[in-house]
Amino acid sequence: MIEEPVGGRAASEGNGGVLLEAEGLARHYASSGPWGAERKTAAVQDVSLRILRGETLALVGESGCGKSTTARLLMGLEPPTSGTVRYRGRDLGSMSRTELLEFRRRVQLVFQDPFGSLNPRMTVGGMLGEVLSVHALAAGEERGRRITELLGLVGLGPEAAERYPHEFSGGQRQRIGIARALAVEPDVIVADEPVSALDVSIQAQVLNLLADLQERLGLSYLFIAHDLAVVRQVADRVAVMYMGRIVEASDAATLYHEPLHPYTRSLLAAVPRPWPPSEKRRVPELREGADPPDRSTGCPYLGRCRHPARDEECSLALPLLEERSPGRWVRCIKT
Amino acid sequence: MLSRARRERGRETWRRFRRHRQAILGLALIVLLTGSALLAPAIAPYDPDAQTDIVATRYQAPSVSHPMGTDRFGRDIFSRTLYGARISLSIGFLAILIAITLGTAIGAIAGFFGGRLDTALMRGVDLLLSFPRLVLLVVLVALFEPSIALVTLVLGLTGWMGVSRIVRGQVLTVREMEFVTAARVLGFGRTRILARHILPNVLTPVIVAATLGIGNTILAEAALSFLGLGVQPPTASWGNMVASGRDAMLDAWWITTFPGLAIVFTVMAFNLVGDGLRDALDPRRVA
Ligand SMILES: Nc1ncnc2c1ncn2[C@@H]1O[C@H](COP(=O)(O)OP(=O)(O)OP(=O)(O)O)[C@@H](O)[C@H]1O
Ligand code: SF4
Ligand SMILES: [Mg+2]
Repeated sequence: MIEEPVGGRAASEGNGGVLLEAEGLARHYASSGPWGAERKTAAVQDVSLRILRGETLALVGESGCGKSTTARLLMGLEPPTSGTVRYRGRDLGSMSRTELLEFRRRVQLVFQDPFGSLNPRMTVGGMLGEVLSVHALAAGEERGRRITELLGLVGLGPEAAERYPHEFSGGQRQRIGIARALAVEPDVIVADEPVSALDVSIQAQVLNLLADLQERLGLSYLFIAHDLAVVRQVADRVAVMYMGRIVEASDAATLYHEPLHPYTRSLLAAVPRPWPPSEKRRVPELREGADPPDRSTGCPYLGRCRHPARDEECSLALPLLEERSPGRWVRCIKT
Repeated sequence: MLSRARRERGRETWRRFRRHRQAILGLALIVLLTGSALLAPAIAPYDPDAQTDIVATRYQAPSVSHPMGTDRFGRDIFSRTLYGARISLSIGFLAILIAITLGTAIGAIAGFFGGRLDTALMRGVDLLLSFPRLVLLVVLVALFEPSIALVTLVLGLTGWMGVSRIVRGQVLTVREMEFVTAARVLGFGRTRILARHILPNVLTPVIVAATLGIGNTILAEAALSFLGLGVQPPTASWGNMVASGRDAMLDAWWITTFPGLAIVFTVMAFNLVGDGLRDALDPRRVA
């Protein structure tokens, strides 16, 4: 395990190095459909996950599956419809003001959009300085030094402090966003698709930077991505999400080597990788009417599932997320 | 000290502004008007209120000694127009300052806090906007003893609604932006987020609205003074000068024409500058 980041502090985790933890998280949105009819979207359902000290947990799934919603719930930016978020064992929902401020110092967010996430009217030095001043982390001359240090951490020179966001490229802006998150000396960083808006050539640089910072500062990451390729080089564990639910979770090596859930396999197939030959058999047609009209019962992946063993049984009940072997979870009755 | 980046941004805005010939013309006019208003005591050839030998000096047509003629009390129209500029412009500037301060505060609170407060505030704005401004002005002014301070205050109090709508709309957009989420995640308080992160990003349209609003305010002041409810004679304002000449409009056209032209040019100048600013401050618009 890596030592405390800059400006050490007393470690107070008595629960096996679990820093951030979600249990049974759900988030429903009420959206008004046509003619004012109210429709409920379940953006996130029954999501439980743990982020351990010093590790990278990747959360992967296609667009709209609820990744950002999960991130917002974990960050306490909106309340969950049900379930709890805990930081070092303390329930986010019942934190006092001071505890919440402490939480804000320990858990930070890095955004996808390198343009919208920086205040266009503030210089980079102004942004970093504000964080340092609000949290009383550095004042006077010390503040300038710390700003330079933070910029150095993300590979930017001290002259960046004087500039406005629009003077930087996308990759540089992403570095600025990371520096801002680091200013409070967090131990968990939730990175919501931090490289998907960047050019492929720049993506690797930012990923390397994140890996490097993790090593130097002992950070834990929740790394959100919409494909498994990006995550491959950074993740220790991977959770795959589909329609608001986690459908598979395991350590990264196992998941890439031997994916269990059909959805994970299709994601891996999108990454250049041969589909296991044994699975190439024709997918049996479902009997007419077997696809349940009510999506609330049955496997949500049924309609898209290419599993050879897929059958009517899949439409009877929502598969549970089961632990097949230690640390290997899957939500499919046929694997 | 201005940072290099800020200077550059300013320079870029100025470059775009300069491309608008009309805006430059407007700016030149404003500089000229404001300058002569400030220097009125030095430039004006006569005391604006002095009346000597009324019978001999009244109703004189423009000439070398009175470039804009004299009124029915023999007062020099040119001097009075200069002094009137002081009154009209300062009422215009001060009233718009009151209006944008109020409008920004109310619009920002409504947009930022939302909910019932927003609904209540915006209903209030709708209600106020449902009265013609002049009616509001006349009612408010009629309740009190007319004075310059009252006119300024009342113009400010009736001029903020448009600004508040603009600001509310902008705040609603900006508060959803990710840098605001970033500020929340960093544990910043609501007041700080509103003041330091949201407001600076909604000010561009406010500046434009303020510039465009000065013209209107000056016009409204002139209208009030014309009706005898604004600046009271003998203090010269363009509105009461036009009013004082209206009986003799055909015989002594100069009494109404020169202050009238002053009003027209001033309103036009501010509108031109406002249009130019709108384009220059918004990089997405192609001039
Ligand atoms: N504020 C909201 N109001 C209503 N519906 C919402 C809201 N936020 C998200 N949703 C819905 O919840 C679902 C999940 O959205 P979310 O943004 O979490 O997905 P995502 O996995 O982050 O997708 P992306 O890869 O596009 O960022 C979507 O169907 C979305 O339309
Ligand atoms: S439960 Fe059935 S439908 Fe669902 S993923 Fe497994 S095989 Fe496919
Ligand atoms: Mg997202």
